[in-house]
Amino acid sequence: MVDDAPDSGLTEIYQRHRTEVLRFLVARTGNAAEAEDIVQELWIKTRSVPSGPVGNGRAYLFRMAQNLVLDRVRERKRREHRDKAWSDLETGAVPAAAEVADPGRNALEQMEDREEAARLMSAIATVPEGARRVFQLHKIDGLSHADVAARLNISRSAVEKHMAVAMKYLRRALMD
Amino acid sequence: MDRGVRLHIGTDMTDRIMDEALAWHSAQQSDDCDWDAFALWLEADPRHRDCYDDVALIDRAIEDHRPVLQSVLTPPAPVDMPRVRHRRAIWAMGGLAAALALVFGLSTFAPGRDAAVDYRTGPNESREIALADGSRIHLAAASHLHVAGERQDRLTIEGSAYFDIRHDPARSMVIQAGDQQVSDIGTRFDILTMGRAARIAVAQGVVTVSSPSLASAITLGQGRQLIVDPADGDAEVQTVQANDVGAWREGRLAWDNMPLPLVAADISRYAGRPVAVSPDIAGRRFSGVLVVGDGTALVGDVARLMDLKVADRGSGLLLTGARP
Repeated sequence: MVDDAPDSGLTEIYQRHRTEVLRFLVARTGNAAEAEDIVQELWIKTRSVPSGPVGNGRAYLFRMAQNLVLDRVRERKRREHRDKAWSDLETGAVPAAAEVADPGRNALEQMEDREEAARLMSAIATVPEGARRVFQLHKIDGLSHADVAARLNISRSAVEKHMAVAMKYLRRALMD
Repeated sequence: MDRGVRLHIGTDMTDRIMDEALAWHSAQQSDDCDWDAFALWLEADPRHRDCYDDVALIDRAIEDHRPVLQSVLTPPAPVDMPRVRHRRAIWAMGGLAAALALVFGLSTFAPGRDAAVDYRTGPNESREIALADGSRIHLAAASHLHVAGERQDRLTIEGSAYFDIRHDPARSMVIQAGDQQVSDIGTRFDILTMGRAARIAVAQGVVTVSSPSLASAITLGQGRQLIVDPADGDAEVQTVQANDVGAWREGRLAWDNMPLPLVAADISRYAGRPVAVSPDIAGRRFSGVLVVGDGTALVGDVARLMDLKVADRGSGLLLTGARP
């Protein structure tokens, strides 16, 4: 590879694992063309991100690839949600920002953000109480599984079971 | 609503996939994750990928909104916060703290006292009121509850409140909400009223509503709401998601097919300024869920979603149609 930028550790790791990351991305996305796009993005990322000490380069690279996939999935879902939301409106059209008092440049994004937060809250309210308590301590208050188990005096596997229940309810409430 | 149906689609198969997706999701935080095995799992069944995507997306959304969720979901320390914000707050505090909250936070009547009592809240507060029989009323921002009667059975609400009322066949509690009288109560329900407009929504149990706008009293069951719209003089019964009843206690305002004047009334209580609706759009309806936050963004949100203009009239805000 012709390359006049100084080789960061990450670029080297990328070159070593490119083939298996690509294979993984095909499985991950189910789409060979998209996998190629993402592996390109990944290459650009490894070049532009100043690489600090990376404990396990391969795992780091796979996680980077995972995040890029997730960015795309999220964007796709948001677009679907947006299209659906607008078609649900009587007007059938995006209101022009100029017609709104105090529009703000990212007013629409901010609103979508608030909507997403509201949908999350609404979804969390559907989670049964026991699972919700575990979910809240772990995901919102940031306690580890072990700390949640100690706090509630339950086993770690009970924590995992509660988290699975919570996620099932959230998925049902959030994903159409 | 399809959301109700979705609650029943869980099967052992989807449970198994979810368990596996969660296991893979948490495995990836560690350096020795077996990525090849993960890829094989993804390829084994297209539902695996869908489920994994959902798990990862939900997790990221929670991460993104953690500060907001934390501020809404986490109960404040009971001594710093003399008013219990919502009942859900109690469990997280533990038994002793909850007892303290009851001592500090709830205004409790002595039984048999006859004097009427008024409770009022400002734009940025809410409070919980306990009646002697164990019933609770959670009064929303900028609202007024009047409690009278020897048995605390004559109530009047202006604004918004969530009621959790003990059923007692020996008592006949009546709540006046605008022109409406709510009786035969033993349930959880939410009342929103402003002037002659009202929404009465039942989360659990049943209530009877009578009103001059109704030919006869109607019985309102769980998952139903009555909307009284002074613009067309009509009262109508609709279905409502039980989750959305009293959602304001969790920091969100949920409206389903609500007359715009009633939406405006609801948000003006949070905005701290009167929000009015011009007559040309008073007949329109709004459905949606908005986060209360500090209350100031709500008007703009509604305007944007409904393609309306907001005019500042000094004394208050006026929503008008965007196109004259």
